[in-house]
Amino acid sequence: MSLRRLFIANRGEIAVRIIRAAQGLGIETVAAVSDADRDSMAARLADRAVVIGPAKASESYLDPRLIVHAAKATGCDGLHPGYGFLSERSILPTLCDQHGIAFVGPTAETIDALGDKIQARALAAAAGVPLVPGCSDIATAADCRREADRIGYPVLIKASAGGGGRGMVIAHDGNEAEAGFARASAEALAAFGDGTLFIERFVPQARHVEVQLMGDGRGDVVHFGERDCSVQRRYQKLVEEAPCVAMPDALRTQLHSAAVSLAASVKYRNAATAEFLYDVTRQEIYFIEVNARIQVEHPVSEMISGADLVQEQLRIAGGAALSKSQADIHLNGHAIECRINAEDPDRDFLPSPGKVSRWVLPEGDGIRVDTHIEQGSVIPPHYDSMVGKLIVHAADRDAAIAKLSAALDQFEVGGISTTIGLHRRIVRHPDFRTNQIHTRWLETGFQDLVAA
Amino acid sequence: MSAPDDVLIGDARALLASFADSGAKTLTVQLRDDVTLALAREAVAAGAGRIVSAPHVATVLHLPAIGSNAAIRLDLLGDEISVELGEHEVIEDLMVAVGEMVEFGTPLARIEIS
Repeated sequence: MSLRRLFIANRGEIAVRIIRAAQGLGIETVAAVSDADRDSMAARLADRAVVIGPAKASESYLDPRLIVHAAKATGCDGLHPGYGFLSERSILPTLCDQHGIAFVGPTAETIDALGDKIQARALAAAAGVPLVPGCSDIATAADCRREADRIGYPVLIKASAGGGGRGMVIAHDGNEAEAGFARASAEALAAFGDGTLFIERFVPQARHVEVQLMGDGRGDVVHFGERDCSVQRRYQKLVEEAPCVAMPDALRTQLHSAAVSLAASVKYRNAATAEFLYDVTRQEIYFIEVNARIQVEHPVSEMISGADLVQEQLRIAGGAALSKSQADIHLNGHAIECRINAEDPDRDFLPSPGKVSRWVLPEGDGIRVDTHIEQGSVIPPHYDSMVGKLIVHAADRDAAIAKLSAALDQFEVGGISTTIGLHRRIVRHPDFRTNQIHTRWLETGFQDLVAA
Repeated sequence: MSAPDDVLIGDARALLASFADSGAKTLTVQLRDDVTLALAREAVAAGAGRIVSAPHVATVLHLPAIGSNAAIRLDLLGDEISVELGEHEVIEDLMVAVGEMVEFGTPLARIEIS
């Protein structure tokens, strides 16, 4: 059985991407749109658009009852959540199940299990996936020093109930660990009313690597290689590439194996991404979390594998087995993606909604732009500021950077501010070209990039 | 009208309904060129009376009789949603049918003040 009519519960470029993937499989499409998006590209491309609610996301894209009601009323037998919005809320697959609609994603139980960080870490540990070395329930300064000695310095002493950096101390040796215990515990008690601490290894210059996975829900899981998403600002990825050329082959094999084992252990269904911290100094990987959905950066994995991951999602949701075995998946060349946001990097990334007066896309072999914008489009102020993704593919990283640099120069946008200029500076920066980057690179070197 | 200044309104019917709901006597709008024609067309279609429109996607469950002051009832995934009329308002004309899926801003009925 394959899907016949698909409801797209999202907006922007991913709605357009899903519609085109569905059309390629002969599946009819119904797009959910808010009042602000009734003239959007997705509304125009879909066979039908349904205005589910007003512009405000909480009264439209974030209300699962509106989404599922519209899907049911329009006779859809499948629902794709995209990313963001309700994509990782178990209420959506629950309602879909109740109303006979195939959810293009994992089960509600899987979403709940992987969404709970403690449960996800327990599942990862049970599947033999490496975790950041650490210890919970530190009761005394002496305990703190002993465990820190065991884990290896530097360590991060953190409040169990914490967040936002409060109750958090970095210790580089035993004396700092003892002193840090007192400080962190006092801060945690003052801030959260709970002085309980835990410690874990601090990785000062980590890379963010992640593995693209696809499972059939019956225990078969394949991977499409890894992505390196280390160019970030405040945990928001800006540049993603595949593969992670900084990683040696033996560790890469371990990374893929760990990710597949974890997904297989929960009989994962549909697309997922297992995220890891890569400690370059120690040559170790540590599990972070699983994102139970298609990711923004999935195109780089598609470019190196030749797969259409969204179509694969739709086939699996329709009841099919995985279309390729691991042996059939061949990874070639290097791909890089830049997220183009309607923001002004020189004004602290202030959002820049408005009418797009000029929109000229780069073109050429190995160049792809996923977008919902065209000349004359109006970017509403209500949602995420991403206006598109520029993806390039070439034989190796150097060639991909050269192609990306040229493509960014061809990309012309008028009427709004974008991050294209920042991307030009990033890809020409010596650190990026020599691959000397880490997750805090953009923040620590940002003034240099802005002033360049 | 108390709507925020920066809201982009892309639907003429919703704009008229929102204006009618506000109780204001005058409406000043700055239109994009492509909206002007659509707004004029919808204004003619809507007539001079007040229009009550759907608050979100739903299915029409029950429609009161013409001349009634009763609420229009909608179904949202098994939950009943009431669209209430004002104290002195009665239904002049129905614009949808029972069982029909309505979207946000779909005109449900024309209202007259009794």
